[in-house]
Amino acid sequence: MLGLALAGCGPEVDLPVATGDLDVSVELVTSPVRRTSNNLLIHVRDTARAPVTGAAVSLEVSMVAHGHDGSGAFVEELDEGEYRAPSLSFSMAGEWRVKVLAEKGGSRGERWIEVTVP
Amino acid sequence: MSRGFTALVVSVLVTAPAQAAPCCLSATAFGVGRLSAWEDAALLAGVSAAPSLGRWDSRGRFIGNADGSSDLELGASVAAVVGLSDRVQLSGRLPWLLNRSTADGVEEFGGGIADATVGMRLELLGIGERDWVPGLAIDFGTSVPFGRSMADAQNAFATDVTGRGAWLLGLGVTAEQVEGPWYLQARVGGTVPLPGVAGPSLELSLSGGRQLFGDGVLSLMARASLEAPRTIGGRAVAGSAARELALSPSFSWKLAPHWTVQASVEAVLLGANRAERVVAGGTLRYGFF
Repeated sequence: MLGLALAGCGPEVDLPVATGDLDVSVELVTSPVRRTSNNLLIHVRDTARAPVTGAAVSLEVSMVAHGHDGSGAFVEELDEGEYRAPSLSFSMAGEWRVKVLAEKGGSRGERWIEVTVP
Repeated sequence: MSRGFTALVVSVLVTAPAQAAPCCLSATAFGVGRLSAWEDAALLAGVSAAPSLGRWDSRGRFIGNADGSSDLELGASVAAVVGLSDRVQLSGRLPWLLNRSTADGVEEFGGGIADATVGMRLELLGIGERDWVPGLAIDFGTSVPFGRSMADAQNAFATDVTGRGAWLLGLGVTAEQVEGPWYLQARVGGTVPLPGVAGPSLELSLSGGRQLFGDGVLSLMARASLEAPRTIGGRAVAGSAARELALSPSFSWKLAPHWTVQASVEAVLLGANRAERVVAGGTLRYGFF
């Protein structure tokens, strides 16, 4: 029984990279990635590729393989459809998954990126 | 089989390096050991130091620490074993951790009480009870989440994290054989976290040793553990399973009839989704009889 549990309940699946009707693109400006104060640029567009202003943009970071989340990060709006998280930090080295969520009105979009922190 | 050698074997078998770190090490070592046949109880006090060398990524590749980054875990613990009868023993262990991390020119400290463990050992067949038949025992254990979990971390580098934030339930079966100056032990066990922040895990260990210099025992333990992939929405996530193979030499020395001291080192040789730390530990044990 434990063996079956260890093998999982079925085939392993890859996690999604984007969902929703808003197009969210993400650029990690800081290179190489650091443990602290990384700069993340976020672009939000609607289905007509027009920039979306005044969206509520938030971040969630997690280490899926370790089963825990990290701390979120402050997000500010820079320009039309452009947002920035200027102080994205990771509590430890390893493989992190950053989820960016943008919402405006009834529309929303999500984008995940994989970040390997040295 | 001498009485002194049996006591030394007891201390070697039960005080492997503590795996108390919260999120990136395997869920092992519930028990703090067993009593010798003539003992009523035992008290143990231990210290450990575990510098990080890097990590094993999801593909099983070793990646060393980045320049300027380091992690060190210092631990201390007290433990007790009490015999309820010839066949049943209860044990408990309470650890305390101090963590230090450096990165990007920042140094951070944190720590506190870590997850406690309690366990029960049920001896089905005593060591030496029958010729050429190994002793056999079942152990039940649980990890009590006294420590601070990642979800409750306040420090930027999570140095204040000292626990998993979940109860763990464990079950294992151990076979032990002592022949002359040699001993051999094999154990298979599993743990299940409650609630399911991690998958169930399976652990196999094999250890053996020999009496040396009269009152000492030199031992070597190999330990392999497998942890199931994380599940999100009922689906197993690719690349999230964890595994490790560790090797641990140790030396135990009987200082006096009641007192035993042990030193050990454990290093992970192969792994995936695990931290790589060298754990050096020392334990002082007092047996009541």
